[in-house]
Parts: sequence; structure tokens; C-alpha cells
Amino acid sequence: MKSSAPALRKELRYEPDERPPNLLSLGLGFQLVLLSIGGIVLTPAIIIRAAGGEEAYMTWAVFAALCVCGLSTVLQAVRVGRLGSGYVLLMGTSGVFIAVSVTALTEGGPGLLATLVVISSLFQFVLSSHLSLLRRVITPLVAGTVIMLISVTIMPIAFNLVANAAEGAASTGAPASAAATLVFTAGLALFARGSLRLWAPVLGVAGGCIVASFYGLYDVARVADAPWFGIPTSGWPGLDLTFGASFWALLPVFVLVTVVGAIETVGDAIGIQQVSWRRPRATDFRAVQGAVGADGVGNLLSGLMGTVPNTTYSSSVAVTELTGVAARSVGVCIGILFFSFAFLPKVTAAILAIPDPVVAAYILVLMAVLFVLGMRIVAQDGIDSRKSVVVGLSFWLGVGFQNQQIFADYMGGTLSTILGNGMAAGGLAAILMTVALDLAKPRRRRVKVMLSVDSLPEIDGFLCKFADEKGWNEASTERLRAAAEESVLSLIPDEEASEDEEARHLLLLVRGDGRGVELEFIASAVDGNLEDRLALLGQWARRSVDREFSLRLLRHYASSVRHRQYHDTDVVTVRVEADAPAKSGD
Amino acid sequence: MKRSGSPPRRGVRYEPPEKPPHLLSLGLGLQLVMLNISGIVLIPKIIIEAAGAGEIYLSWAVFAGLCVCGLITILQSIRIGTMGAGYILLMGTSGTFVAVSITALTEGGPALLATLIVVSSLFQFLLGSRLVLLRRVVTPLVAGTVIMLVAVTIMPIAFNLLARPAEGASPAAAPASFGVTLVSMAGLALFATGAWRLWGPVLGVLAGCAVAGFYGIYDTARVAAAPWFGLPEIGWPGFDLTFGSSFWVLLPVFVLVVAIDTVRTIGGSISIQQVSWRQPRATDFRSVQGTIGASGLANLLSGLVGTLPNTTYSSSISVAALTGVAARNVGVCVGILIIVFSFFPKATAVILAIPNPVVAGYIVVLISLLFVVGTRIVVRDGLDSRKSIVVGVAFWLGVGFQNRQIFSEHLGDAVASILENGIAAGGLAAIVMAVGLELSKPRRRKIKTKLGVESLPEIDEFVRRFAKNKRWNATSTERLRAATEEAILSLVPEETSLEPEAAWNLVLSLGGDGRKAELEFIAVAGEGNLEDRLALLGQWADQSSDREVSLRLLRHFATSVSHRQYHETDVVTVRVDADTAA
Repeated sequence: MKSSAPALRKELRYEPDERPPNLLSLGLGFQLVLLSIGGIVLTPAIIIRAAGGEEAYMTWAVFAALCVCGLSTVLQAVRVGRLGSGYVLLMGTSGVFIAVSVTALTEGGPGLLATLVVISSLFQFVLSSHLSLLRRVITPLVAGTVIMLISVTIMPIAFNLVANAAEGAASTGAPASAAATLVFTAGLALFARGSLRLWAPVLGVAGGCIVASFYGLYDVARVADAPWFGIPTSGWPGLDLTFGASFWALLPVFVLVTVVGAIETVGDAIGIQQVSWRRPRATDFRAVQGAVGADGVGNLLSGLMGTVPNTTYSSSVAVTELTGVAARSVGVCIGILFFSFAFLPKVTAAILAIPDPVVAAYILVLMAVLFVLGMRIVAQDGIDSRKSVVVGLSFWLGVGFQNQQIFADYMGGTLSTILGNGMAAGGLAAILMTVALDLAKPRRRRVKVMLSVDSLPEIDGFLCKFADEKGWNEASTERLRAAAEESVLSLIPDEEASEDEEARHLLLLVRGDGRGVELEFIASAVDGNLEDRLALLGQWARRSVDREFSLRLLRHYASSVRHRQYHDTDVVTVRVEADAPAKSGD
Repeated sequence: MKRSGSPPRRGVRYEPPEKPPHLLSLGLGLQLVMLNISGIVLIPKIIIEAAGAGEIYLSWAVFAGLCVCGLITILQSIRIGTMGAGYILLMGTSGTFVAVSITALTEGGPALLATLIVVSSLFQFLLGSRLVLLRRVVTPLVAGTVIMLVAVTIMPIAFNLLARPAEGASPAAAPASFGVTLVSMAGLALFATGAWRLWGPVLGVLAGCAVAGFYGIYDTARVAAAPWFGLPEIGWPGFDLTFGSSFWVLLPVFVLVVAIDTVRTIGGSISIQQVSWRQPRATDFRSVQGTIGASGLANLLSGLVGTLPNTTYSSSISVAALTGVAARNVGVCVGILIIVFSFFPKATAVILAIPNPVVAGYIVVLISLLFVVGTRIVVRDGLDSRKSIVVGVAFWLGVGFQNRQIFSEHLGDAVASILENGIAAGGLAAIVMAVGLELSKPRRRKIKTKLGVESLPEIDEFVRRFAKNKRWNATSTERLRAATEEAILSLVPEETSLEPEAAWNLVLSLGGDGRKAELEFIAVAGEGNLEDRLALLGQWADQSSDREVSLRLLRHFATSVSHRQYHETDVVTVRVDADTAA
């Protein structure tokens, strides 16, 4: 196993509270803006072009998106009340919404999209105060499957753009510029080192544009026509408050995407904390909640202003890690820069002029990586044969419904709008199967005590009752009790070291099946919802350290022992098998 | 971490050489046949019906396929010379070939398919004798991506089966029988325990057929018309020896699929070994090679008699693990039963009469699982951001080309027909990127010695040379040398237990640059191709156990230490960082 003791991050130059020179903040902010502005401007453009929206609406949506992203990036950095993470977390338009937004636009126009974004953003606020709720319904299995399906729904849009060349251009222009973009982006991402890798998407698009302009595909006229400074005068779509059938059909899909998007936000919020301090510290869950909350504000504003939803960009985590500057003032600079760019139509025009084949190749790489991210999320908890059925079947049912290959002509109206979206069909299948699997498992029982020798009798009594109910024989019960005692003793800190430590809490979860019982001991210095913390830590903490557990005695009793250690939380999972002749209690 | 100190498997009732009572062998054999026969018969049905290659060829292919599967299953059990595993490994028609076989049939008919199978089976023999070669090109990254793409190529075929309802039947017939098959297969796979789970596919198909029968779309006439006993009309297609352009275009795709199937065969062969013995033993690589050889022979025979390629089925592993009977006799019984079965057209007709929606449900579940197998292979290898690009981009390029969504009109004929197969396009992209990544890594240097204190000076010299080349400063070099010494000392067995043990060999490979060095120590008892063993073990062995290496001193010198332990092989990977001031 890797034995990496949490070392000091000496290379970190500025922690969030520290103030680097203004020029440095501005310079770094400018870099981050350059890195991400392409994506922020292109996402609304792709959505609106794919849906056949008007030019005026697109200009407005891009303007509004930049304003909202600027505002919410500042909010993430400075933290107002419970909103905002207090770290450099860059906000940008969200790629995961591309497919559903296109559907909303074609079904009901910009007004419907705006209403859907506003309503679904409300769910994000609910989530930010109930993070564990998120984890219960959207297990990694469901989230990963849905993320994989998100790229399935978006890829066809990219494939449609790929051959879209201006009329009159050479027929090889589109393939050449798409291929150049793909090769530059993938090549840099594969072979470049350090900060050059971060620039892979930007340089790839730039390379593609150069090839495209060689074929005359880059829309120079557009850039020339755009004024240097200005505000779009029209385009705000307003809200569609009729709440018709297409609203109700699309709402569940939007909520699902919002929730899955929130999972990425949580990941980014944990990631940025891990790279922002010299001395590693426990993940601050209020900051995570703040990040999700600010994300919700971003979406609410986006809806009200009639643009597409936004989310945190993980590039800020990578940049912070590389530059060693985690100061909040950088985040504020980025926000201000975004906001100012909104008023410079020439700049946005330069991005909007990027030809479709280049955009398609860019999206292809982006969604390909998102797809693999989904696979990784699915696999992180380990896939057994049951989970394989859940993932495989829901993914392919999603694909089948998305491509209308499964009995498309049998379904009409609302049903086909929901199921015609692969994400909704597959996500629904995954949630149903996961919930059913969870219900089929025996219920867990729990007891919560202080972690000390005094609590042993209470735990012992609890386990005796459990073994009794299951009809275990005496030898098996003895083994269970002994294993529990050993585990608790091994979790209690040594006498000498424990002086000034605060009291720790212990939560014991017990789940039995036909042949054995699984005990989970969670010891933590902090009170509060241990299971919540655990659910989140187990999923995202990168620095969890496995360590060998003092096992000498425990090994005699238990058939498997596993010890996970997070910053201030220890988790010991012990499995004890009943003797074969024991009557199985269930 | 799991601590599984490889305890004896008490559940094993009969090891491979032991002889259970004949009735038991026969009973278990019959179960295995019932579990798998539908797959063996249905896959040719899907391929040949999708390609529209005719009823006569179908009955012949099913008959010949059963005969070949039976023969090779026996060969896998009893092992003749270097051919065969020596374990129960059931052979059946291969699902991975569905899409490519259909293309071959539509492009050039059964004769072209037969030629392609024969020629590509020769590659399988080559791969069997050069496992490392296989591993170099078909890395887990490439294999996983290709398996995922195999699912992508087959799924549309399954969905197509839904679009062809029987005439005159109620419109609800197809959705109902598809739904019931899918739900009961998935339900059993999710909620059943033990042996019930194994029967999931069979029971699912049965339930689907029951519903289909209710709607009158089960083809009872076909069953009634089939004779009880008999040989099919000779439908042998012969060979297409013109070697036209479609042969050359399809050959690389076939070879790639054969290579992927071989990778999976290796997995099956290692797994059956792990469940067959009471006392866990090291994986026998001759048996693995024997398995591949026999699979190659199976494909060669399939091509010669004009049926579809086959592969090892993993269900025999689950059955052996569940029942605890790993005796070779069972394999022989299975083989004989399959051959006998092929002479009863009525029996095969019962399976062939299964209506399309039920077959579709069955395939959707099976191929979904295959897809997940692919993702697991990819993820298990450890995905960093570079590998994510390889997998993601290759997979989606494959999908795009397969669905003809990427510039299909710009490609020339020959290029188009290769790239329009998603497996070829995506596999090619994955191989190119993976090889590029491999080449861009700094080359590793290697040294091979005996594992012992007396080898220390030699190794020290080797490490010093590396540090000098990379211009490390004195303190960093010292640290590297100290870490190396500590690592070797921790690998040398203790004096007390040394006596009867064979000499251990040590391979040290060293890579790095001006800022870091990565040392990989591989210690193994006995001779043999260490890299071979390692390549295979690392990928498939389930019994690797991580353990803490004696680290007290090592930790001071090294940035990270990882120790993997297989049956007779220890691998220690140590990373040492140079001082930044270097």
C-alpha cells in the first residue's frame, strides 16, 4: 500500500486568507479566465445553435452567462453568510446541461428553459442543507451511470456539428480542422507536462482555428463587425409561467441533472480544500455546503436572466495546485474579469466565431473525459456482479431509449419525452434497481456511545441481543462479542497520548445476513452526523490512508477486518461468520 | 484492507484429478449443459438471421458449432500434450464475434467468414506462445476499451430484433415478452443468491417464452416439424480463397477480436485454477497456454467446418466454485452431452424457436454485463487523467465511426469499411495513443541478479550509475542508494526459514529523470520469465494480498513504497525524489 504520511505542502505560496500582491492576483486571475472563457461562451452557443435559436437570444445568453459566472465566482471566493465556499472556485456554464437544455429550447423556447432552470435551482438549495440526502438517492452507482449517459446524450450533438462547414468552403476543411483540434488537444493532454497540460483545450482549439482559417472557415467578419464595447439591448426571454405538459415532463430530468451536477460541485469543493492549505486539515463541510449553495444562486440567477445553468469548474483546483496560490483575492479578480468581458462584445465574438468542426472536436474530448469520469465514479466503491447488472442494464436501457430503439412507437406524449431522454430513462432504471437492492438487504442497527472502556458493557449488551435474535449458537456469539471488544479497544487512543485530546464518539452499525454479521465502527473526534461525513469522505477524500490495524487478537475472531482512516475519523469494518450449524435467523 | 491469508478452500469436494461417482458427474454435466446450451445455439441464430444467410446454413452452423464445442470441452478437461487446460472449462460460441461475423456474412457470405476464422485462429496459436507480446499491444486499457466497443457494436443488433415483430401478433406481444425476459433475468441476477443466480439467464428466457407462448409468438410449428433424431442437411460453406479486398479489410478486425477473446480466455483459465484446489497454489502458466491452444484449435475447427468462433464460458467457473466439484470427469461429461445434443434436431429447434423479443432481452442483459466487464478492466488498471483521454476519446471515436456520424462521406471505400467498424476504429485509436504514451515514458533500465546480500554491491553500482547520469546531487544519491539497500534487505527471506527454499531471483527495473526515480523490485522463487508472470498476475490474480513491508528505515529515504505479494512473487515499488536543489 502507499504509505504517504500527510506531509506539509511547502510549495503552497498563499493560503486562502493571505493576500498576494494585487498584480499577481490579477495575472493569475487572467490566466484562469483565459483557460475557461472558451467553455463558458461556447456552451450557450452550442445549445442555442443546436436548438435553432435566434442570434439575438444567443448574444444575450452569452452576455448574461458571463455576468452570472462573474458574480457567483466572486460569491464563492468571499463567502456571504452561508453562501459560497471561501475558496477559489471558478464558476462557468455547465456542460452537463447541454442535451436537456436543447430539448427544453426545442419543446418550449427560451422562456421554458428559464423557468426550468429557476425551479430546479431551488432543489440545489435543499441539497446544500441536506448533503446526505444526496448520497442516499444518488449513490455513486447512480451518479456514475447518469454521468456516462450525459455524454451519450451530448455526443450526437457534437457529431452533428462536426461536418457543419460554411457553404462554399473546401470539403476537406471541416474534417481537417476537426482532426487538428482533436489531435492537438488529445496530444497535449497525453504528452505535455505540468502547466502546459492545463492549456491543452485552449491550445487545441487555437490550433484548430488556425487550420480552419486556412480553409476560410473562421468567421472573421463576425469579429470585425462586433463593437469593442457594448451591452446587448434585447434578447431577455422572460419566464414561461404556463407550466404546460412539457414543463412537467422535463422538470424531473432537469432536477436529476442538477443533482448530479451538484455531486461534481461537492467533489470540486473538497478538492480545492485539499490543495489550499499548507498543513492538511479536515474537510470543512460548511464550505462544501456553501459551494453548493453558491452554485444554486448561480443557477437561480441564470434562470432569471434567461441563460443556461452553471457549475464549478475543476480547472481551478488544478491551477491552484500548480501555482501554489490559493488566495481568495484571485477568485475575486476572476469574477471581476468575467464580468468585464461580458461588456466587450469583440472578445465574445472572437470565441463565437470559432467554426463548428473545431467546437465539435472540443466537445468530443470534453465529453469523452466526462464519460470516463462516470466510469470511475461507478467503479470507486468496487463493482460486484450485482452492481454490474445495475450499471450495465441502466446504461444500455438509457442508450436504447435515447436513440429511440426500444419500442419508441408504443409510447406517446409525456412518457416519451421523459423516456426519450436517455439520462432520465437510465437514471430512473438505476435508481429503481439500487433502491430495490438496498431494500432487499437486512436493515442496519446502530448504537452510539462515547469511545472509552466504560462503553463496553453497553456495546456488549447490544450485540448479545442481536445474536440472540438471529439464533446464533454460543460459540459464535462469544466470537462476535470478543471481536467487538477487541475492535473498540484498538480504537481507544493510548493512555499517554490521550491527555489533551477531546473525547471521541463511537458509532457502531450492525448488519447481519444469512451467514454472518458485519460490524462497522466509526470513531470521530467531532460530534454531528457521522454517517453523513463518512458518506462524503469515502467518496471524495483523496488523502484517506489505509493503515495496518493491531490485529493480533482480532484476527482469531473475525473473518475480515478493514480499517480506513480519514483526517479525524477512523472506520473499522469487521466481519464475523456464524458457525455453520447455527440456525440462520432470517 | 482485506486480510485473506489464503486459507484452504474447505468447499472443494473433488479436485481435478479425483473421480466423483459417475452419476454425480453426469448430473452436474447436465446442469452445465442446460445453463449454456441456449447461448451456444442462440448466438449463431442471431448472427445468421441478422445477416440473412439462410435456414440451411443456420441448422448446419448450429450442428457443427455444438460438435466443436463438445469436442474442445473434452480436450480442455483431459489435456492432450500441450493442448487443453486440464480443468473444467466449457466452450461455447463467442458473443464477441457477433458484430464482425455479421459484417463478414453480409460482405462475402459464409465462405468468407470461414476463411477469416481459420486465418485468425492461427494468430491465436501465436498469441498463446507469446503471452508477453499479447500483453504489450493489448494492454488492459486497450482490451477494456475494445470490450466496451464490442458491446456498442452488438447492442444495435439486439435492438433491431425488437423492431421486427411477428406478423399478425398482438402489438403488446413483443414489449411484454421482452420486458418479462429482461425483468426476470435482471431480478434474479440482483436478488437471487447462490445457485439461483446462475440460473438467472435460463429462467429469464423461460419466463419470456411463457409470455411469448401466451401471445402465440413462440414458433411451435418449428419444433413440431423438427425430427427427433437426425443429421442436418450438409450446409458446409467451403472456403473463399479469392482473398479479395473485403478479406483484407476484415482480417485486422478479426485478429483484434481474437486477441481480446484470448485475453478473456486467460482470465477464465486463471480463475478456474483458483477455485479448483483445496490448497491454493500458484497459477500454472502451462495450463493457461494449454487453454489458449485449445481455444485456438476450437476456432480453427469452427472455421474448417464452417461454423462460428467459440470461446471459454465463465459459467463453468461459477459452477465449480458453487458445487465444489472441479473434477475433470465433469468436463468430459459436458462435452459428450453437448455432442449428443447436436444430433437431436428437436432439441435445438426448441431453442431456435425462441421469439426475437425474448432473444433481444437475453442479449441486452448479457451484453450490458460485457460492457461493464470492459469498464472494470479499464478502471482496475488505475485511471489517471492521461489514460482517461485514451479510453474516452478512443471509445467515442469508435462509437462515432460505428454510427457513421463522423465524415463517412469523406473516407475512401477501403478505409471506410475498416473504420466503420467501431471496434477497429476505436481499437486502433486506443492502440496508437497507448503505444504513444508508452514510448513517451523515459526508458527503464534493468538488472537481474540473485536475491541475496552478496548481490548488493552490483545493484549499488547500477543505482549509482543512474544517479550520476541524471546528475543527482550527493545527498539525493545517498538516499537513493540507502532506499535500494533497505528494500532488498526487506525482501531477503529470514535466515531461519531459508534452508529448503529454492534460490530467489531478483529483477530491478529503474526509471526516472532529474527529479525522481522509480525502482521496481521483483523477487521470485525459481526461474522462468518473470515479466510474463508479472504481466499476467497483475492483471488477473485475485489473491494478491497487500502487506506492509518492513518500512522503518525505508520510509526515511523513499517518497512512497508499495508492496504487492503474489503466490511466489513479491513486487516492491519504491519512489525516491531528488532534492529540488539538484
